[in-house]
Amino acid sequence: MPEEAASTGGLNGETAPPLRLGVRRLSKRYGNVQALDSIDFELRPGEVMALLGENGAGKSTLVKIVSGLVQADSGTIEIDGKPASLYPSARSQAAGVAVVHQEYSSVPTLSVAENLVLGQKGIPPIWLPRELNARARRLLAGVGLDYLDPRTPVERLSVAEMQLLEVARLLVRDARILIFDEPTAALADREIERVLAVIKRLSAEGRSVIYVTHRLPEVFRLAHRVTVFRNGQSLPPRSADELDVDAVIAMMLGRELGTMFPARGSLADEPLLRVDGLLAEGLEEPVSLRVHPGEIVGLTGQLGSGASAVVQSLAGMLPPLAGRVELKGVELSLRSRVATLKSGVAYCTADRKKDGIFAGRPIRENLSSPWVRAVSSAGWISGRRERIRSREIAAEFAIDVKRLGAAVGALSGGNQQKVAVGKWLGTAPGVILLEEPTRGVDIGARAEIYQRLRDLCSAGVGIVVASSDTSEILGLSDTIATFYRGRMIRILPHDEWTEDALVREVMHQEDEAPAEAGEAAS
Amino acid sequence: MRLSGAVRLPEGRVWDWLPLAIIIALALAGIIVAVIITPSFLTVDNIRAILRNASIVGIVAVAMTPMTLSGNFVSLAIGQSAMLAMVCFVALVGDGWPQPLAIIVVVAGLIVVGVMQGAIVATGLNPIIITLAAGAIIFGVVTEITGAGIVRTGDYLIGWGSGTVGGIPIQVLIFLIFTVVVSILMSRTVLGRETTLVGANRATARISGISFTRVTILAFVIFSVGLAIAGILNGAAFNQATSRSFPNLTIDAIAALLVGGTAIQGGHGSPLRSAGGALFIAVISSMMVLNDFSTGGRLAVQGGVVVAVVVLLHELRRRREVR
Amino acid sequence: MFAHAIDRLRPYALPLVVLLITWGIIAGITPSFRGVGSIFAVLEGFPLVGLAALGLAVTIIAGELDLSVGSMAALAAVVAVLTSPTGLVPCILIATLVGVVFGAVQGTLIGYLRINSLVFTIGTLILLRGLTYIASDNAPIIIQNITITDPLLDRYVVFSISSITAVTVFILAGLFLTYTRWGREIYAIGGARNEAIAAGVPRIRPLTVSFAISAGCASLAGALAATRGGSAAPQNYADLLLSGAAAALLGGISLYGGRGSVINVALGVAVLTVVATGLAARGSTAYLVQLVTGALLLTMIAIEFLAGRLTLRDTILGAGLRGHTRGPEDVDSQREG
Repeated sequence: MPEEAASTGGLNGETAPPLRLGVRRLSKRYGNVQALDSIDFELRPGEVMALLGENGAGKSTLVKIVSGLVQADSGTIEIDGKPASLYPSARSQAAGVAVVHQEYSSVPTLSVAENLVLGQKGIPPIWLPRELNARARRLLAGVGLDYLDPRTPVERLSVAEMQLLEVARLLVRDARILIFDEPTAALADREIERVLAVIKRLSAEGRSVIYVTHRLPEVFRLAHRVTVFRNGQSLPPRSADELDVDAVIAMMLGRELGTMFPARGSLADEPLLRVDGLLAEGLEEPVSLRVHPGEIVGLTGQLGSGASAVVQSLAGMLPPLAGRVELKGVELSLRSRVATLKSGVAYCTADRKKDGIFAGRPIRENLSSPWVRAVSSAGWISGRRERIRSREIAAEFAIDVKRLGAAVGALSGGNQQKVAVGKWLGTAPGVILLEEPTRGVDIGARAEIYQRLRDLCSAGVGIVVASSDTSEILGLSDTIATFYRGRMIRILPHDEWTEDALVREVMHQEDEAPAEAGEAAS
Repeated sequence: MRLSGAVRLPEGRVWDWLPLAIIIALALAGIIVAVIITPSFLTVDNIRAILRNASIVGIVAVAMTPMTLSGNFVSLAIGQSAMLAMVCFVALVGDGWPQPLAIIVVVAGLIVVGVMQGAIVATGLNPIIITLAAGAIIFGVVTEITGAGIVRTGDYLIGWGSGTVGGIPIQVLIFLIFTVVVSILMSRTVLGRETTLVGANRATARISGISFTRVTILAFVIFSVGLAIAGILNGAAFNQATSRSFPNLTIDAIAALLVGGTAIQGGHGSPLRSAGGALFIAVISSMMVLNDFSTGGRLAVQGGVVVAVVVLLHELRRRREVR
Repeated sequence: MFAHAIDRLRPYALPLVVLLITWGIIAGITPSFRGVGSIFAVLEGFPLVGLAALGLAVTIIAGELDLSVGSMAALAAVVAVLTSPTGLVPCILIATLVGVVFGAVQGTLIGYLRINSLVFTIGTLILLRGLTYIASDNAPIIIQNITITDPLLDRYVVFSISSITAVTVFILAGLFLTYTRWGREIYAIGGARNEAIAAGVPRIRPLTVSFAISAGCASLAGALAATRGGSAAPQNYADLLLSGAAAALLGGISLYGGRGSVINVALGVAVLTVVATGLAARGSTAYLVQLVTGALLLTMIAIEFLAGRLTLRDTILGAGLRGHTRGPEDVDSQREG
């Protein structure tokens, strides 16, 4: 399969040309989190290198360093055998690095042709449609979009077309190192084929590709070699031919988090929350599950798997298309957030800056925001009761009680998350829904958040956690459900799962065997 | 959880009081300069005049603060709405209505007009454009009905409008009471808290079960009450009104609010600051009047101060958020 | 090809229909508003309201709003009258240049400080008005040598010098916005600011350019009106923001930025002028015209809203969301599906 690389890069090692990208002993620290710990990484000319690892393993940090968004603390980077400095991003671009982001940089109201010249250097100040369109047609042909009318506004394109347009934009800059960061997460099957075919073609042209993904079938169809990151450290690259799914999973596992998870309690028999046949946008099949008092149900899957669609729907943020949900035997209306909140559903979103905290407001106001009515009479807030209650919560979550007047935006990510979770305690919730509860949170705050969730369980609360972090799900949950591309695959008690099985299910499915390999190439 | 020393400062509180402190400092500096170069500044009459000038603008700026706090920017129909209240009040009294009844009707009418705008804004439409259009409609309707003429109270002269209570002009007293009431409303009630939170982050507020629609409409109600009070006070003081009353109120009230340091994006600010802003502008104006500044000079200085303060506060806020 | 042509005409369909209907109604009930005379009357709307609307539209396309256009026009009118001894063309050019320079500085500051343009232009609205009073010494001023403005009163079939000037500016602005990099960058930052900047569009230049155009157009409008009338008063043109915004939005310029063209503005101006001239010809007063303008503006916004074109973007006009300085985290969008 990887014959292109064999011819251009010399897989066997004899008289190898210089590496396109060589990274040695690179380290990066964020606060008290060691994101990269002296990693090595290499990329040959014309090679597709899959970069794998669990969330938090350091993949995105490496991408950020190579694309010039952040600066490494130590280590060396060579491009074509010469030492290179890739910070800031202008230098990285000049060195030929280009990243295809999950968030696109196309302007929806402008045409395809215009987007292809937007922000590019060396473009004449007068844009004549004829020239622009001719130029666009050439570029579009390079990424398999030759059927597209360059005058079409970008907002009419499909997600895959936008992604390929993004690639075309990067090719203008003569990018030699292309980084794809989970390009297929939001794509349908057919569209994935097109993106993969284009990537193959790019590598055949001699460009090098770093392919970051969580989907193993794509790795075996596309990559020449595989590098696995684990806990901020790198394993030596392996040829994709030598590997199979089991071997890759074995390489990825081994993150030691065991001690930070609190012990589980016992479960009641009668379920607290019954979800029957729930269907919402982002789900391909109805989902049914039960949450008992004191139980933590973990839903895990990658971006677009449907796990967070379930949680958002239960929170009243995503209107359900079908299904019935009962909380404590009473039907729960998922029509609006206000309705679910009144019924005792707390909801902690994945992106706390966007919709989890009021960054500019004091901690106390953040903590009391969902329950301020409870410490009020006839619309008057009792300052004393608000203070007492927010102090209690702050103390439970180890937030400095003396600082309740400080703005939440000034806190560390971990403390912000503690505020985002802690504020719901005051509502005496029956069910707590959490998405990615520890994303961007340091180890210490993680352990505290896990412990508090368990404490809540012993008080009879039911918890649903959606997380793409499989080790977190495995360590924290009583019951675990796996999701893959809009479907709930399996739901089992935690002791019937191994991390190996969990990772396998969320990254890979049996009916997508690597056998179909080469057919997408054109 | 380890908390680094640098973060231990109570930035929240410093931030809350910094703009007000700047305004007070500026106002004090203005007064000191005024006293030095204009000996007549510190006379009782002049102070009374300053306060009287600040009152109408102050009431409206204070009333608009909840709207701005909730993330709905400002209204461009301020002058026209206050004019509506003034014309209606004068016309009703001139028509022989008892004053308390006229007051109730005017306040209720203004609330209806305000809620209509608020309901449109609450759907997510741009408040600036909506109020711009609403102002034009109000102006057109009132001018059409009054025939562009003067409305008078005629035989039913209202005496209390230019009166004083214990030496304090009635407007000033009402300004004071109104400021206190709205400040308490914003700082002590659930409504006030929700208003600020919606302005601070609408998405988080939604997840916390706070309704943007309700907050927006209530903000327009408070605003309308303030506008009605301003119109009634001026009606009671002058016993006549035209559709051209309050020509500068829109600009003055927005200037007071912005100079007071309420963030136009919402989430930061207080009615107290807007009141301070109104006083500050009144002090400057008075100083310039006493020193024979022309209309142009005063407007230019007022505009310059607004730009300067707004930029200063914006930069302070940005520095703080970038950290 | 054909489908593409239809596509390109679609944004003009609604304002065109509105124009034809209003024109028909007004012409039907107003005998004086028919034939060549009516075309002349409509074109006469372009030098003042039209230019103001054009400038405003450019800032709206850039995802901003320039509230200071009325004050800018008043200042330019005074400047034109004061510099009228230099001759008709020079005084108009000087006044326009003052506006362009001021607008460029204003736009640069807004881009550099990343400040909400509403706040900033409310400040400059007051400031410019003050400067206008100072420049005119608080009283209306007149052009001493009034004969120099005579050419402005001539009429060439359906055109006057003013309307030819205004129409020329419309065409130039249209070409600039459609066929130049700087013009397309204005659409880019208005349509999707963060994406455009990620693609390499400079943050400040499009704002500098659009506010320069906006203030320049407003200045030209003020200067043309003042020279034609032979006088300028410091309190003039306070309503220009309303009619300008109304015309731009009536023509179909989207409040959410990044959409609309000069043709939209022209259609909107035509609608507004037809209504205003029609009302005036029937003896209605200026304030009734204001009333109708406000009502038309509200109706148009309601139509745009109901047409479901409401896509919240992180521009300051994105439905009252808190301004582009805070970035996209404010947008009430769904996360992954």
